[in-house]
Amino acid sequence: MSSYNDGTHVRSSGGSDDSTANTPNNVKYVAAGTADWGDGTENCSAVLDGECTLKINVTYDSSITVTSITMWAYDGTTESTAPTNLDVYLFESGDTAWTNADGSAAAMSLTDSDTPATSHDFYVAMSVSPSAVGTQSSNAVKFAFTYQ
Amino acid sequence: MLPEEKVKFVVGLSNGEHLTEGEGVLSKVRGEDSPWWKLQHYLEDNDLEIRSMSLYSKTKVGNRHYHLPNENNKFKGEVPKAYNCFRRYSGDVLVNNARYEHYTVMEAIYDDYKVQLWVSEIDNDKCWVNMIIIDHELEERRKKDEEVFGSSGG
Repeated sequence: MSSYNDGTHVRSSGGSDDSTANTPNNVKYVAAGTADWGDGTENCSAVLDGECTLKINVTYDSSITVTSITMWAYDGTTESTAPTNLDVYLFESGDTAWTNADGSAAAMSLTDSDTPATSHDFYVAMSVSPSAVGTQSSNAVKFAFTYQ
Repeated sequence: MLPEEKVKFVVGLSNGEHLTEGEGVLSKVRGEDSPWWKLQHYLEDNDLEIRSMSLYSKTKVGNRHYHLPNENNKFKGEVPKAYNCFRRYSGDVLVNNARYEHYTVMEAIYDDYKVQLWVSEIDNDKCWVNMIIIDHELEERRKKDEEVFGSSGG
């Protein structure tokens, strides 16, 4: 508790570790502008696309732009309510600092992808600190965007 | 892959043409520009402007038509200086059976504000009107950023 993740895993609906051949990179919050993805503390801006925890892919059959993109963690019920018993930090690849994205009012903004394409990738590092023991599976992370 | 939209936009142009999303000039073809970007190219290539905009959808109880004010305004509303249409999507990531929201939005743009009509893609019978004050200082900063960086950063 009250420290940040040393590992990141995929959890099956039954609660078992489902990370086999699908283990996400672990990126740990160190300080406001630094992170450790497994090779020691470095600036957030030095973490590469392929070293981030998540690759979020938006696809469409014709070419669209994706803009006004935000991402935040919430309690799984009300988007403006911070996650229960979790402190969630995010940054997009290239950012210089973490965003404490607890609740929609604290959402992280991502860079517009404003060249029309059928596929848009977004790379996000995520670090979490629990304030209580136990599974916190009611919480959720929301990704929102505009497309044309 | 994003869900297929059921709500389509219809525009009236300065040459008298009416174009419908997914049809003719604005046909939706895999790998080509979306109907919205096809419309932008068509306007630019033919030196045209949008003079009216509406949304339509086929629902369980019949066709729905939603209209923004225009120069032939039935109710004498103020004529917009421009129009826009976009989709807004938000959904849970990292979980199965993710909840999501999906809207088609058209907006009438005036000097100092925008009037938006949001229609739910999940239930086309539900819509909302929203009014937004335009922050001219923010718009100016965005334009300068685009000049410097060549893209509007998030």
